[in-house]
Amino acid sequence: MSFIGKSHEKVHYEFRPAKQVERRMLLHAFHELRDLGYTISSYEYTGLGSIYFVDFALFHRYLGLTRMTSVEGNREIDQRVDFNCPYKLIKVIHDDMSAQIARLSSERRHILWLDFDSILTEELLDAVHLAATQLSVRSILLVTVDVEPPGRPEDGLKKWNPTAWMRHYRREAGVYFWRGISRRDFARDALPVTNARILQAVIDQGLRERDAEFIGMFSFLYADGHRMLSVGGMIGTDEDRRRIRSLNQKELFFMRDNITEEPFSIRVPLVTRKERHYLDQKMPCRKNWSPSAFEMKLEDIEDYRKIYRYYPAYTEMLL
Amino acid sequence: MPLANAHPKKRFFIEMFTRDIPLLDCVLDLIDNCIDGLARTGQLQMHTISDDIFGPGSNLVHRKTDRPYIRIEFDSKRFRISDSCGGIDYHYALDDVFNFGHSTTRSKEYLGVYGVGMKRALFKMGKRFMIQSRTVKNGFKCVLDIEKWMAQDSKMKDWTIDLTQILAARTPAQVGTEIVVEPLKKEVAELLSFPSFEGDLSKTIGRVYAFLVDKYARISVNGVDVKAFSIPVGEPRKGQTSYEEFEHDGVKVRILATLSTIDSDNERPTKENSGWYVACNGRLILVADTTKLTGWGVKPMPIWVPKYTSFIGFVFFESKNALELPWTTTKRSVNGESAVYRKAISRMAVLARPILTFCNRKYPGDEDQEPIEREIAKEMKPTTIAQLVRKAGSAFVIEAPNQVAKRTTVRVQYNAKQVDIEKIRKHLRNPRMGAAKIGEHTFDYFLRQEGLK
Repeated sequence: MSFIGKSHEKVHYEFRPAKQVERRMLLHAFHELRDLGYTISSYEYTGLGSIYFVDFALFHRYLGLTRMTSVEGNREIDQRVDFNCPYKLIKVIHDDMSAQIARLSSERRHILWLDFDSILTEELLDAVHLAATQLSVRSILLVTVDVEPPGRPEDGLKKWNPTAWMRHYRREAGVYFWRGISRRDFARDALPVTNARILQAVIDQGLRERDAEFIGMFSFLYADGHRMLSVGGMIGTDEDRRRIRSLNQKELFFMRDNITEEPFSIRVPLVTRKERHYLDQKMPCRKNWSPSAFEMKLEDIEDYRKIYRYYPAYTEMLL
Repeated sequence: MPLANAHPKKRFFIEMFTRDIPLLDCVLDLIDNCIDGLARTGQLQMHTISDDIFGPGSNLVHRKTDRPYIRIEFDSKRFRISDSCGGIDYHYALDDVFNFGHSTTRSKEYLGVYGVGMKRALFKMGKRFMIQSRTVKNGFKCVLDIEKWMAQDSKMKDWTIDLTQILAARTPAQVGTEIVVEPLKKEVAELLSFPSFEGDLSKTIGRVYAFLVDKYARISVNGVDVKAFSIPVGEPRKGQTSYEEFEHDGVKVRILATLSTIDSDNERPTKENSGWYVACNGRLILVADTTKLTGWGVKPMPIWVPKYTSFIGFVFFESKNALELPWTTTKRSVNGESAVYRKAISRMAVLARPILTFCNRKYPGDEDQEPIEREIAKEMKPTTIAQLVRKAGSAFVIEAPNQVAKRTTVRVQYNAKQVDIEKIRKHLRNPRMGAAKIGEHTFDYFLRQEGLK
């Protein structure tokens, strides 16, 4: 069994603007960590590159990472993954992610991104648990999961409601439930934080026998289709916590001290290329500013102000 | 201030304390005492036994003919255990051997950790026992009528046992200890008379002392030498197994996990050998465990299911202070609350994972797939732990071709009337022909008739 989904068939990875904003925000934070003395370029990156390897290309180019491993559990695309691997330095491992986690060297520091495209399952949580147990101190752990309600709306409200969703989570993650958890925690809007709380419990469990703690850094919520939650932080010590908390919070406004806090919502307003050029000239804008040349909602402007530095530009390229 | 009475009572040790331990484990406790003789006389360092397993080691292994022996003999009337493992010093016997619990000055390295095993075993088994032991320096003999001894229990002086000093061993062959329990308690006599007891005992000794028997000592049961259980560790033709070691509060821990070799009779790994083997100072306290005790079914380990039959793992705990080891007083289980054991469990889950994933891949959802993992598992070479560790990395990896091997056959299933099957059997004059064979025969018949084959 494999928890590796088939998201490469669902959406072209290169055209997921919110995901790309997330990647660039992470990149920004990693640069700041480097300035704090963390030798990020010597870290080993392990992720789920699929056939696109977007995160690999970005982290290699802009962080200088040279030790990179992409894990592919879907045997049907073994050759396709190898064919699309963009750099020789990327090692492609055809195995389940949890097996590869067990192989991560305790001598090196890692950035491990469990960039899943499915909702929480027991298998996925086992991988997170193993990661918390295995990752060396000062490594970074990122976990992405789909936080749409389980099941299908076509099944009707009798089968597709918070009680049914809670049943799914109880089956997959019941051992990590906390006292007082209720149906309310599985309402659609509560699912991101509930997922984050479950992930926090799993990480705590994985760290139980270690002299290390999980220092929360990220919690992103975005949707290029499905709503996705990405949480992350560092396996570190008290000293690491102090250093990370000394980062410029105004500059890194998207970071979170605790992964169970309200996530930072990456919302990418739909604007034309011409509007974008105009908006960029006015950025960063003051609060309540609005363009005089065209109509735009205040909340869209506020969203744009937050993400414009990280917003990718897409153009058609004739090859 | 008035003082409440908190005296020990012999009845507790003789009638209550003996209830929690099976007879088989009592015999093992007596064997532990023999092996401790080797440790006391400097012939064996218990905390370095895994060095001998994992490499050339430091403990002296005698030639077979010179190897110390432990002989167990019993029938429905008496039980006897004798050894040539160094004997018990008279002064040590006076000061420590018969105490309930050890003194703080005694070496803490021995298998006899808690100072209860021998007494509990003797109280459990019989109404009277005799111990006689000789070292090169001195010797002693003790005979105890347990019921009489239990009846005198009013003052601390009643908590003593008469020892008679006897001559020291004149030759090395005379060095050793003999214990005879006679008469036996009724239920013990019954158990010892069961035809299966002797075999069960031999098998258990072979497993519990798999790393000791026939290496540091020969053990026999009623005249038949016990064979050390041969653990079917396998080595991948291309790849490495999982291995890790660490130290925690003075306890050295070594963890090794791999795939087992196939059983030559069954041509597949057997459930009986699958799981975790846990040893404390060389003595196995859990053998092929697939329960929660070794983490199965406790996050992030899955519950053991038959597809994990190929999994085999070892954990060695070693310390000069055996009290720090995570064993129970019966030494047949682990103390799951021990900090070093909890730490080990979390590492065991990590080391096991690539092997379990490999096992999962042997049985994919698509029945038409013939995964390469099945072939690899069949080709595991039998090896020793020492050889395996030399080639081990931190985690299990198998170098395998990436392609998914497709089956060239497909299973055909359908229902047929029993009367028709009987007709075919009659027609072919083969009344025992199985349904599957009939299916193959008729399928083949069609191909031939139609000129397709």
